[in-house]
Amino acid sequence: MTEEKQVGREVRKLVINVGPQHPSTHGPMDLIVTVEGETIVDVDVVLGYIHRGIEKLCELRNYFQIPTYLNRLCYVSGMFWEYGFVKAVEEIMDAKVPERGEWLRVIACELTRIASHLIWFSAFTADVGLMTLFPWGLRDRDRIIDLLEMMSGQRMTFGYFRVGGVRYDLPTNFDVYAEKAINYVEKHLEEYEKVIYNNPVFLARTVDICPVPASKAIDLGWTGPMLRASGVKRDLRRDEPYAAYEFLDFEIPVGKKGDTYDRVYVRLEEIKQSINIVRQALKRIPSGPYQTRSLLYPPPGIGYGWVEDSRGECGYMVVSDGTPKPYRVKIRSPAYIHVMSIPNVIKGSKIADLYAILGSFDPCLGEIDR
Amino acid sequence: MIDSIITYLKSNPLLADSLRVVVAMVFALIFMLLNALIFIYVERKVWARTMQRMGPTYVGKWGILQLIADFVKVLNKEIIIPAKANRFAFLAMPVFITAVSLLLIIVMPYDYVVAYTLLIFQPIFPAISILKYAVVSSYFQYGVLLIFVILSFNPIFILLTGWISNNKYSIVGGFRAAAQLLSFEVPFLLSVAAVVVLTGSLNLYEIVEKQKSMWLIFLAPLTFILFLITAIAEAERTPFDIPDAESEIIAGWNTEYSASPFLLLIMGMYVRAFVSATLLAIFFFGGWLGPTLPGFLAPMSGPLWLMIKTYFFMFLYILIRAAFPRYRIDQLLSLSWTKLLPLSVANLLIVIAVKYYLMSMGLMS
Repeated sequence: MTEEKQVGREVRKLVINVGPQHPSTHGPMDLIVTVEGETIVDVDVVLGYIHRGIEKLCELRNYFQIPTYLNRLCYVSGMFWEYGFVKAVEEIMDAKVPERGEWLRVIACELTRIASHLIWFSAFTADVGLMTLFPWGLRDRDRIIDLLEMMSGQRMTFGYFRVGGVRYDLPTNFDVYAEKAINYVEKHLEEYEKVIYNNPVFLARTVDICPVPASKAIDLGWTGPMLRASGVKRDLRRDEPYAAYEFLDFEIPVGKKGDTYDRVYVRLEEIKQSINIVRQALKRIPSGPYQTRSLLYPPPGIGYGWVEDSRGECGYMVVSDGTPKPYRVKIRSPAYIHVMSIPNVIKGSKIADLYAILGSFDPCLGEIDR
Repeated sequence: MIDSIITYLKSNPLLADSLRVVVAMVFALIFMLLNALIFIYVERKVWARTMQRMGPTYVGKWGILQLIADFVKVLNKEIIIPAKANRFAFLAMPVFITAVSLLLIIVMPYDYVVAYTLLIFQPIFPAISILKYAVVSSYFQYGVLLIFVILSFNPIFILLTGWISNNKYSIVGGFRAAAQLLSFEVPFLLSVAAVVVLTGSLNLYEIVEKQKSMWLIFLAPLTFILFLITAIAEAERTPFDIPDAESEIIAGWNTEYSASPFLLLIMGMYVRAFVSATLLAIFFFGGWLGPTLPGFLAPMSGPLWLMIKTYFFMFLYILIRAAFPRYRIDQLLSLSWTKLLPLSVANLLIVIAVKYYLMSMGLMS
């Protein structure tokens, strides 16, 4: 406890250490919060508790081994992190991916996005004290995870992407199972909306809490749902289409004020859009090969691969020196940028809202600490 | 033999009174603790079902024995006392809190419930009829007043508990709890005052008897809603469970407690919740009034009705807990001072007007 004297009145500032072990941080992160009464005056973010040196590990492994490490960056959205790396390597090699491979990538990514947003939704509702919805989100996510298991053989750490395509083709009757699971999730999405949008207490906890205007969100380098919640219509899937996204028809939901409510709204709408995309993709997926033979390792060069992750834009810069192992791999984590900007946006909020705000940022400590 | 005992006790009123109180209190204590356990079990089960889980299933049939298992497990844990805390005070506070919560059994008509339920064994054990003389202990003329005197001890003890733990989360939780309980006390008391005005009595038994023609819920629905909201807040249950908002301040004022002291604190909280559910049944739903239940003797159906109504409200508490997130502390306080307080004052005036009208019509004495 520190005490400071100001001219005119005495202000007692209390320093609360939230984390690294705290029931409601989304992983081992430390927030050193200075409060004046119930109002937050300063936050210091301390990260690095689960730093595993994945960037360095990538320099010591060959190109086939690396994606296995990368899906551990964020195990709730592993597909994106494999994809970003694979995309960067393909750029160096100028490799062609067969059409069916691109569509399979879309299906894998969108299913992962649904699963990731659902687990985020669970955690967020628990953050505002609505414990009932926590198992609901996990229940629905489990159905999506089953689909991903059918596709890749793994439930969370997939190892599905490879340079020049994907590792496996779809199993037989996948579209029947997928339609069933997606309908299941879609039906429950309506329930979620009923429970939260008509709930006066939920609205009191989210509307006008920590609003971030569009200009500030751009200045802070936000991407993904966070930026879209502030009203900026930016989505890599539309702006710089990769895989098969240019053939697909989907909308980009945006918020109005950039408050916590908008961040909830945008993500729930994105689940709907992802469901829509998976439906279209399953209908229109062409037949043919799903992977090509490629070189074992790329020629010397630099490649940058970025994809629209469930949290924002995840990027990889891969420097190849012509050996079987990359010279350098640099990871751009969207969640890191969001979490590090907490001190810039949170001042003046109430301490009780800290977790609702932090939860709405969707931090994933795996990708933040790398 | 019973007759001779009764005649002897009648000649010694002091001895008779103290015996009554002891017998009644023992029964009520066992009853209350049993019901607190049942409440926890029902809550875990019902809440689990709303979450699409099964709840406890393994220990005993339908997991009935799970709470016993948990109880034994918690007792086995180490009692951790923080280095900075005052050792004696730290261990004394849970005892005080539970004792004060259990004091409510003096007033609540649980001994009546137990004694009259046990009367079904009268054909087998004639001696049991002596229990009838034990029930009067809770027949206090100023019972309602006493309940709120006892309940108003809570903020002080909770604040002290948080303070003694000497932990930032506990202190914040303790002050929040005190602020919340104090600010809800005013509308709480005002809505009770409306009940007292309508029935013209401070005695729980008389309040119930006055509802023979009409339950108060139909006469004063607004009072009921106010009382329900404030009773939930006084019992520190969701959406007003800010004192132990686990996502913000770990477990609030009881963060540092473990093992049996923690058990005592939790038990005190559930006892308060159970008492407030019973009060709702007594004040607004006619307590033990109701038609004789099929298959039960007339004296037994009264207590059963009271329990049915109490459990109905406990069920309501659980569903409210399942459906709502948690208010923020400043939103909660502004809800209390800017909405509930004016409403309850207005409600009291309305109730006085209604009572005056009914009296002038000769419908009520």
